[in-house]
Amino acid sequence: MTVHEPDRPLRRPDGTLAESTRRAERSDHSAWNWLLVLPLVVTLFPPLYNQVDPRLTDIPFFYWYQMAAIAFSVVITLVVYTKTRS
Amino acid sequence: MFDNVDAVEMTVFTALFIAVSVLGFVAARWRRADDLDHLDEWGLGGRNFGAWITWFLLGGDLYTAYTFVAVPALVFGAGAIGFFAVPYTIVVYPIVFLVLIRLWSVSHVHGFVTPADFVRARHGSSTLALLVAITGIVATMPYIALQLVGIEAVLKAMGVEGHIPIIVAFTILAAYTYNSGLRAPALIAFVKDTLIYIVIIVAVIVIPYKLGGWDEIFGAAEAKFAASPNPGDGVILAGPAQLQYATLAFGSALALFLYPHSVTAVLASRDRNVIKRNMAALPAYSFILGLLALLGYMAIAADITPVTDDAGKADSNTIVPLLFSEMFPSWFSGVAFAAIGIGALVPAAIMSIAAANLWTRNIYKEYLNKDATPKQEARSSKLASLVVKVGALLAILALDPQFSIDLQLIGGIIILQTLPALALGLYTRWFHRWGLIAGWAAGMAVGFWTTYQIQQKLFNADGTVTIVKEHFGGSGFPMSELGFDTTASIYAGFLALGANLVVCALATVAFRAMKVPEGVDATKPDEYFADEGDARLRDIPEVVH
Repeated sequence: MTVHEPDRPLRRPDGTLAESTRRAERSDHSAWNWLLVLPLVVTLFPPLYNQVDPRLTDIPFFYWYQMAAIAFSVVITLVVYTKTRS
Repeated sequence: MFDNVDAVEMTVFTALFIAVSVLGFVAARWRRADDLDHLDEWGLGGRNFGAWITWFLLGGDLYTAYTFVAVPALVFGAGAIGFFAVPYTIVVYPIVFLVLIRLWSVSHVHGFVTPADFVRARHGSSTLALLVAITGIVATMPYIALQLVGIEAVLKAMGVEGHIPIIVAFTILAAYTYNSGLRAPALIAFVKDTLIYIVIIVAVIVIPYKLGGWDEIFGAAEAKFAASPNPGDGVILAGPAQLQYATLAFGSALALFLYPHSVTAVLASRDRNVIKRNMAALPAYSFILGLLALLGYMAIAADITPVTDDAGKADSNTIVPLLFSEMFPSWFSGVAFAAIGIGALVPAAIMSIAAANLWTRNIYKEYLNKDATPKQEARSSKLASLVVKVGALLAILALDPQFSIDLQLIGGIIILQTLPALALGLYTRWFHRWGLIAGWAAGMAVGFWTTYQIQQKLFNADGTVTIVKEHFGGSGFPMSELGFDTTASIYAGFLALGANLVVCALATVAFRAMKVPEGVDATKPDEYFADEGDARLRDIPEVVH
């Protein structure tokens, strides 16, 4: 069985977190992550968009709003990704 | 069998099908490992997929052939409610962005292959892990069967009769999955997703043009729903339907990443950043799904009538294939049908691998052969993947396909019941292991009871209502049954999850008060932040070597 090179330990010998682990922890606990709530808010409350007008190229609001919400969600996720990159 | 078949259409379809089958077998040599006799290789493709492969793989995995035929069929029949697939696939990514990364890290350190592996280590309970594994297998099986429904819809629309073609297709799928493991669907996903993108983009440009524009399309839909006696349909949601729309989207999103096949594809990725980047890139598929849903309205405008079976029952799943047939030249509808057909193979392969891994890791190794070597594990999984597919095939051919559709409906609800043990378990050890088990049982009971109660109604032109199905008639549970004075419905999975969480919490307090042992947590807080290159725990046998 092949044994790989010894990998990076998660903690230093003195018990504190290794630098790489600390970076991941910072990223996961970053306040930027709260932005991820926005896509949920704009899509999970149908009264916001449950209407026919205004239409966009004859497509009712209900449909183009939610399609636009996809793009919005992507932008938010990208912002969070960039800001929390370890 | 082939009396009414268009030769060009059939030839293109078959040629593409054969091409991906060859690809499936060749995949065994792709990014080749030392040997495939290890679950990390056969079942997780070497745990080494980069951002692109993961994007195609997850896209191919989550957006299944059944979705592609069933979502437009729902829009065709009921209108706006069918569009829930869009918010559903929007909210899923932000939710899992943080959650699944923790699962990836801790699985990387411990070498977990299945969600139940994590549950076992975290909560120190093989019973809870067994329940999670069984829940996963039971929820996945009908999902695999439904992929066959997707292929059948295409075959029906092409005019192919009889079951032999579908048996042949599934046998080939079973053979290359056995041979190449997760590498097969990963490689085929490139073809599948490319075809899907081409077909849908062409469809939403060409079909509205042929039908006279979006105005005509939505006009036809509005006219249809205005004439229909069903108060629940329409191009926007009827007032009371909004609660169901939102809870269905949210509940389905929570369920989606608890499914074993999603976890499998996530664990196969190389590092944390691959997952994060994919959470931003995967909504591209949601966009395609949204366009696809609108095909349901195009089918209304094009006066498509679904294929009826011998009993005279209309199969609305056939509307998209029929629309393609009518709108496209034969060679291109052949491509479109192949896209759906191949679209069934990728998820079916990944699902069967995920179910097989659950069987091997959490039942076979846990109870039947505790000292199983990696090689025995891989062999057990390969064989189990065959059994799972035969089961799915029998479920479709020997039983009424409606049985699988009902089961899949419940599947989403029961997989939600693993949320406290799995998703909340990634964040907290507060819940007692027996509390989680009690919560799971309560959630399952409520889930079954509510869906059993749901009737499917047909609204007649004279204002009367016929009960088409007495039980399991949908996933929207009427709030009036709970004593609320409203005609609104709520997604049954939501109620079940609510019951689960309440019982989980109460039982946790009770078991703790009774000083029932908590079990040992084999994971450490820092392991939830581990990334590629960080130390991994190795199996004892490996250390001895």
